[in-house]
Amino acid sequence: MSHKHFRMIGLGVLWSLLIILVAACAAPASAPQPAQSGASTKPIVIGFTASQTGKLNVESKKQIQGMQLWLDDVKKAGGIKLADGTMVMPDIKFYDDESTTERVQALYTKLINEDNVDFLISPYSSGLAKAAAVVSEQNGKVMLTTGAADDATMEQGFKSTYQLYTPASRYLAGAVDLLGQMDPALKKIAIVHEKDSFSTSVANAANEYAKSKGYDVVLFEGYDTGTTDFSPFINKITAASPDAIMGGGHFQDGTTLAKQLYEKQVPVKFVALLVAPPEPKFVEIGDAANGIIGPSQWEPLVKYSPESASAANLPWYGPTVANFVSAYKAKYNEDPSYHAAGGYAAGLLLQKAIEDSGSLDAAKVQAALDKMDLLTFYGHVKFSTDAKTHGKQDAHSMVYMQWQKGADGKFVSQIVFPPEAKSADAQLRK
Amino acid sequence: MSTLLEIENVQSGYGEVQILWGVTLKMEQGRLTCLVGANGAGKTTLLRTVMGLLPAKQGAVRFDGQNVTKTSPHERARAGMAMVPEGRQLFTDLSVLENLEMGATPNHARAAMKQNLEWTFELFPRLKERTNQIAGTLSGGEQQMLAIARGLMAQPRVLMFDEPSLGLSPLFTLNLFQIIRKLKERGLTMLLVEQNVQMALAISDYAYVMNHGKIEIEGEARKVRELESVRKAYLGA
Amino acid sequence: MNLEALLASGIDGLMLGFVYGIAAMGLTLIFGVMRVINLAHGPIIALGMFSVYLLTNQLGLNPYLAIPITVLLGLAFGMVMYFVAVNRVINEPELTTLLATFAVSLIIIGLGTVAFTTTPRALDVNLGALRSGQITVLGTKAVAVLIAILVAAGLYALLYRTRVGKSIRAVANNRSAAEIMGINTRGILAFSFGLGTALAATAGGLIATLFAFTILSGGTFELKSFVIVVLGGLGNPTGALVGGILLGLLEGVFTIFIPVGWVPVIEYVIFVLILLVRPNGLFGART
Repeated sequence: MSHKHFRMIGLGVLWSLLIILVAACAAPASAPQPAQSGASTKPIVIGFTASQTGKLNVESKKQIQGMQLWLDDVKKAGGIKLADGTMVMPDIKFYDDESTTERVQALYTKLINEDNVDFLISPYSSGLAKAAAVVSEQNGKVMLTTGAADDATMEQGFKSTYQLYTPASRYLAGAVDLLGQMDPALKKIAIVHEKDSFSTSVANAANEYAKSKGYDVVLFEGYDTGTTDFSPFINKITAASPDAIMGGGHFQDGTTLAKQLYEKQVPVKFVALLVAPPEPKFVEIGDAANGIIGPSQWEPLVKYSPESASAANLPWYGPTVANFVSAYKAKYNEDPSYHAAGGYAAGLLLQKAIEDSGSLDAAKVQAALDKMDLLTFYGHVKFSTDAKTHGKQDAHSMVYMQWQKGADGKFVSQIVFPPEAKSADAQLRK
Repeated sequence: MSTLLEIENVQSGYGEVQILWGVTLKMEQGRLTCLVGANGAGKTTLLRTVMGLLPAKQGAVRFDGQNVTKTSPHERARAGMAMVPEGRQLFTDLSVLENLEMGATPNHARAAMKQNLEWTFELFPRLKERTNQIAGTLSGGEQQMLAIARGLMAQPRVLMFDEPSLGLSPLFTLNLFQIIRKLKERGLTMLLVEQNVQMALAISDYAYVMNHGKIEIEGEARKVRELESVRKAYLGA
Repeated sequence: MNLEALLASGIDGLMLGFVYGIAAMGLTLIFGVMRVINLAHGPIIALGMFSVYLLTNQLGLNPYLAIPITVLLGLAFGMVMYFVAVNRVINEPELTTLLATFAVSLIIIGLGTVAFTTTPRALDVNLGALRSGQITVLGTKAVAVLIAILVAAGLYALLYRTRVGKSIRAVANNRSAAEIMGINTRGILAFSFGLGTALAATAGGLIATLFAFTILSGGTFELKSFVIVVLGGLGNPTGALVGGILLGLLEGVFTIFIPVGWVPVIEYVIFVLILLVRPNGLFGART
């Protein structure tokens, strides 16, 4: 019947339109900017994927905002100078990886083979960076990873991949040290973690380290990634009577865990959780945030400076902490997070490597990265040159923040460890 | 005498398979019309088309002067057409009372539901004993009673029966035809599709004989009963 | 074995189980009435979470006032979804309707991510708590249980005491018979679908008063709903409610005995066992 045929065609058109609409909202994007005309400028392209859709989109966006700020600064400075005087004007090209490894692999292949990018930066998160590294290593392309702390990825004997984040194995080491500093009598630790590869490797390393320092790990358990209710689990933790709880996973579970520990009035004196506490939004849980400690790759209150660099006999490079923070705030109307700092640092260090080597040749840039040992607003950066762990981040360390209530009743994120970076003393939870 | 339900040159079937090849049938108000024929003649297909469960590829269905060919079954029910389907098609998970309540869905039936329940239970005292029993647990005969009662609850202007005696014991079959006779006395216009040709012809006013999707014979029931061809084919004489 | 921890966890899980039950009731109702597997169940739960969140945060409503509004919004959404995506294919095999609802789920997730991003949201609802030793009964959880009971009771009253409800059960039982009785089956199917999505949205709304969430959070609850629906018997709303409470209780209790990461695995093992041993569920299917 023709009546039915018309309806089917109309339906098909409607569905196609809907699909196109949804796809358009997740469209690939690039940020083309006109190259500045100068003495003799050479454009280069830095490629990466962004998690514009999917569960990583919040953190990925911050990382890219940091990168874009770096790009602005380079353009303002006229570009990167090569040995022969050529000014290199970088630009970025990225696609949406939908927070999945399948898309990452396909898109990095595309960036390398079709778009012919010169250098690469990783997507946000250890899982996606690992997938990207497979492709970049296969093609011999230089890639800086940021937002990726997984140890195992950087222990595969890579040649051209360089890690900026402090590796996961060192994430909670400082927390154990801090606990010892605060009260040596507290000896019982419960380590609970999300069962993804990142949190699990952090927890395993923390477990080893705590035991090696003579602590009693009274509970060591992983919970499912999708867990929304920790009430039954908290009962189990409380039954083990720990003095300190460490671990967690990502923002959502960390926040819920902190909130429910408070609701159940669990009498534990020290709580250190991954990823969630450093986020400004963490304080939305109210008084439950009080005293919670979190390791962070970077915080706006860190005390890295040209002075502390010369005191440590290291060269300083790039903007000061204050300049970075104010420029970021001016551009994005919010304080920079460590994801943003990592994004900026990735661009910054690539810039330094190109300047040091004076060329765009991959081998020369790699050599420059291998030699690097410097202090930036982001912290101390030095890559491992050992064959098995080549590219792994050797020098950068975590800073530990704690939410403390100021005199006005508002929460402030104070840095409480390590001593070189701290802005306030740590407090025990009541 | 006015024509209450009229089927004109209807063609219908299932997908590619055509069953009805131009059927014309009239039901006069107040009369009991029967439609008989061998298995596979197309009787059930015709009823389903009349009720709207099957679309008519060609032809028209007119109820009380209105062309209802393009309307949906529930609209026809609300206009006053009711059917007691083949195999009863009860709401087996619902109770006897709930089945009867569902029968009274059309607005006019809903308003008069209380009274209609009363005289339905008069007609079917066994159902009254079992109002809260789940329909699926009733015996075959009781289910047939419930199916008819449910149809009556719609306070229909025309009631159509599709093979009501199928699967019934002789006792229940007798009971069934007694009930149909009672309804006839009340003046209800009915269409009876039946395999039991003898009984159908005995109580009907008008008869249609269907074969291979077409009406072969029609006429006053007692006259049709006398026909040589009918006696040979259906009455074993 | 710490008895107090066990009791505390059991109570925690049991209470959450009521909310699981409401969500599962929505899924099983739709399947029972029209044999459609609504794969948009999870995203609709998430929409329910956002509905209560936005009504509370943007309009300043009391979250417990936002819940009845969310119920109505869920009903409206479901009816529109039925007419747009499901009605055309209602007589097609189950796989086709499944694909239709799957398409809707993708659209909801896609548009939802654009509109809300995946930033976790949370409502700060504080109703105090009752404490006894290690057992803490949160006010918000108790209210959620109460609302769940009210909603379930409301559904039963609808299905068993009103004409519309009986019509729904009639349509579920025998659609063509219902049609010839004068019941507008298409309208009833749309309304039933809407009831199913309203239940899902309600569960989402209740969850928003308890935990943080994103547009993707419906997924876990959708999986649990499937397990519960099979556990309780396909198309059996009572079974879904009891199944939900049972699952919540099991989750709470098992957490104490085994590593907590294994608890979801146990759930899926139960799922498979039921399918093998009692495919009609613990309480019998109603189809």
